[in-house]
Amino acid sequence: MTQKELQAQKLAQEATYEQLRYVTRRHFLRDSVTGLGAMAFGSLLAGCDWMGSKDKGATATLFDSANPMAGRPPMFPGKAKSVIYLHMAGAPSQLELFDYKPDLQKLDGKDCPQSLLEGKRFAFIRGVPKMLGPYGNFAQRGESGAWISDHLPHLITVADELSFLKAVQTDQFNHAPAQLLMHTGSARLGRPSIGAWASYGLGTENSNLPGFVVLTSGGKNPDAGKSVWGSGFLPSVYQGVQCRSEGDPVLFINNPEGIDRDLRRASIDAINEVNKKAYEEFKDPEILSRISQYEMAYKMQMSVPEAMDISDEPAYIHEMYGTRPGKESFANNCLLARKLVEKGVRYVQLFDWGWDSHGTYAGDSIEIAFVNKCRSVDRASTALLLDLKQRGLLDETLVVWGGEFGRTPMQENREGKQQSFKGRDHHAEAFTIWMAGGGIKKGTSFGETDPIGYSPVSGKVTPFDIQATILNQLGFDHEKFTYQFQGRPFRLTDVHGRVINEIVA
Amino acid sequence: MALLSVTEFLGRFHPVLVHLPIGILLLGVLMHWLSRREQFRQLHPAIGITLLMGALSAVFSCISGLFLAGSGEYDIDVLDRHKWLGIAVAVISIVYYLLYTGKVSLKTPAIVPYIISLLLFLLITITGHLGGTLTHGEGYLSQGFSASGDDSKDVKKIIPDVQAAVAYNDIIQPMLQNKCYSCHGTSKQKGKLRLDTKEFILKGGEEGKTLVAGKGDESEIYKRVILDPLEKKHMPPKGKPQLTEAEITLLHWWINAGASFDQQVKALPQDSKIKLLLEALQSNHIAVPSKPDVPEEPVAAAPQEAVNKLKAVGATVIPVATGSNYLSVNFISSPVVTDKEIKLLEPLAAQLVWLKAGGTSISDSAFAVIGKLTKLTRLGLEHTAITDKGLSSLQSLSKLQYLNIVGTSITISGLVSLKGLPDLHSIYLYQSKVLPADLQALRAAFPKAMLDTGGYTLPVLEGDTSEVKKK
Repeated sequence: MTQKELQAQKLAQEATYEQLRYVTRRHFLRDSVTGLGAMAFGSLLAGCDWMGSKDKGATATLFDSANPMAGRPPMFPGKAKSVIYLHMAGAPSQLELFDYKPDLQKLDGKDCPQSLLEGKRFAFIRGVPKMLGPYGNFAQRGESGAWISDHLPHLITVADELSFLKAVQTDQFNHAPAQLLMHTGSARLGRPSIGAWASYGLGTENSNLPGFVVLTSGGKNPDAGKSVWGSGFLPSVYQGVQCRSEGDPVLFINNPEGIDRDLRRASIDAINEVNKKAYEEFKDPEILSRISQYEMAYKMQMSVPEAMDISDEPAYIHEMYGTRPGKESFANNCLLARKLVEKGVRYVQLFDWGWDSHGTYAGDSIEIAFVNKCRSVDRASTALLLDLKQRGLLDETLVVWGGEFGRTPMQENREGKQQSFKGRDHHAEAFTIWMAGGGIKKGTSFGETDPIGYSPVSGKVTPFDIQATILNQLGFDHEKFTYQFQGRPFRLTDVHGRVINEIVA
Repeated sequence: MALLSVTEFLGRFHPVLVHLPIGILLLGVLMHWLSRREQFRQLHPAIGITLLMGALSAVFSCISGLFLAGSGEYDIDVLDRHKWLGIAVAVISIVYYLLYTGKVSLKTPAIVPYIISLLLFLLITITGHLGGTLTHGEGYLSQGFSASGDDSKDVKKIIPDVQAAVAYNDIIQPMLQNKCYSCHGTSKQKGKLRLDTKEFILKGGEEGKTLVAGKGDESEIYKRVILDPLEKKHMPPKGKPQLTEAEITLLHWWINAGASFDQQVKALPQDSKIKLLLEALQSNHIAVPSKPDVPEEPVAAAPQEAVNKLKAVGATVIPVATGSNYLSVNFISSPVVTDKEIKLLEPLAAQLVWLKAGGTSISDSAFAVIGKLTKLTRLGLEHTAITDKGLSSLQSLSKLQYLNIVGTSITISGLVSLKGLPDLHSIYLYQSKVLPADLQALRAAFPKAMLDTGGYTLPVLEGDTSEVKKK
């Protein structure tokens, strides 16, 4: 040992002594006690774990903080590799589109029987409303004979690809909680959405793009706000990334003036270095999430504008979807959804606002606004199905179409007054959702409602059943796919849900 | 539902009440033994009152137990033993109390109360165990130890020829045994119903007949299984293994056909749907419309080195399921993929089942490598420069089900070289060089496959571009 090394050792020793002098007996005792407490608590926790160690394989966390978006296998080989969920926010009327009720027409204009009103609560209906017959011409379409009205003249041509759930029932009759229930399995805030669960479970096949993308149209975000694509208690990398279809797809994705890509790289490296230090000190996994989000954002600066650019699609594809380049539109979003799925994005969530047909004025009436909404989605959703199909993607992409609840068989009478436009109130008891592709049967229908479409009479399914089915198609058992939080494993479907095997191929 | 009588109501408190004598009497016994030692001498005055309370609670437990026994939902033999042992506990505990406190002055040796306390301890243990058996069923205590557990109860009959099988013995009885016996069998008879023999099934339970031969829809057993699973009366109850759709359909069919206990399947009427379900039983498999796209037989793990090399060029390599060694590979995030990178797939030939090589820069020479990946069930080669040349090397992909050649220069003459592939059920041909005129010839070559040439267009309707206006 050289003299220099000896010197260094001596200095270090001195420093330690100096440090120890500041540690009083009180400090020592306090530190020891917390240490003991922590040890005792740790062994208690370990005890809990031992109790549950039986199904450790199922509850073990899939979160790899170093590479949270890495592609991961599902529990069993899934039929669907990705999901496109077309949510008609505001809730379209099943009685004008899919749930054909000729008997309701006969009752049109008559008082609603008391038996349907007793013990029920409605968002706006007061007193005794009148019944409202279906507005639209129904016929059986395709070989499967699905009832679809002429409000969707394009969709009827692909009727044989669809699987209808005619008796969906939810327990929320206001938009925000019903949307939350549909997408997070809870009417209250704080749970992860299906897309977040899917990207937590599967990661992404494309390391340059997020696993869960959200696209909105209709001029407004859904009532439940961004929580409806939030990550809840899952690590925040799994939340949906909202992309805009007008202007920059993601705000601030371009480098500001004077900053080039190399400088951006250098600053991200520096920020990551600081974050890594912070992680070593506090061990908070959210810091790792932050690091990987910076990395992802850097990659996305290149890949997202490219993926989100629909202008490179040929004219006949634009025509097929009926896009409106440069504008915010459902058709643009549908085309984008196909592009994203093609590039390996797991879950594309579309929200199209404007389906809340109360009939209080022309802008939310069934005979005007609703018909126009149908026109704005009919061509694009049909084109999406056909385009996925011709590219060989439909059999591994699950497409879901529906709202957060249905609409009443009664004409709305806000504040007990007669309305001059046709309109229906929120109806949680029965509505229709369809699914297609992704290992779902073609040309089937499950569930039935009573002759006026008020309640299910058979084949009732809930949002939990729909969630269980979506997870099942992706290769997850909704009862075993859990995340440990606050001392217990959490599920998307909580304690509910059943895979709707009747429509699974 | 009939109203509970007062005695029945009190009877339901038995499972709660029994814990009092168990706890109190055991405490008394423990204190009695402890008080022999000098340091616990001060326990003495408390022992008498403890034993008295224990004895009283034992008596009340017995009474409530007798009320509960009247409900008749339990196995008679076990119930009988439980009942008499319970009464014995009550009696012995009274004797114990009297002897201990000296209320009756018998000239007994000092050891007698100790012997009685031991006897009491034994009796309580056995009675308690029998009580547990009554509530939770036979073998509840030990089921965690044996590896067999609940699953082994799942009997599956192997039926070599379903038409020759006896409908009840081979189809219905195993179903009842798996899903119903645990509550309606030898150990428990919920609702006074047993389903384990012909006689009991015909006899029915407290709500009447179980089935009406020839009338499935009117039979209680069928009504119960198709009830909404959230309903209280739905059977099997929530949380227990449920009958499958196929089982329910077969049950309905069997009752409709007369609920015969000895007839062979072939003697019963069958429509096409039932025939299909029956056939599924024969092969001992659930009916599946198409072959699974992952082989069932296990495979060794792929060489890690080969997987790493692929990942290094940007390929995504993911097992098809957790715990499976079969792999799916795609090149979605790879910057450059040429025939050189495709060559890296070769060591994974035994494991690779799904391959997406769409949009890559591969050429015809990649076919030689892909042809060696004989486990492939799904193959995507869309938007690549491949042509007919060499396509025939894919003939070796005998498991192939899905082939995507969208946007390639493949023509019919190349494609027909794959016509022998037995499982090929979907071929996507959009924007390839296969002409609409070729379709008929292709259909003849691939009679079972779905051929999608795409090119769908939607007519422009008035509504696509216009809006309804306010009148």
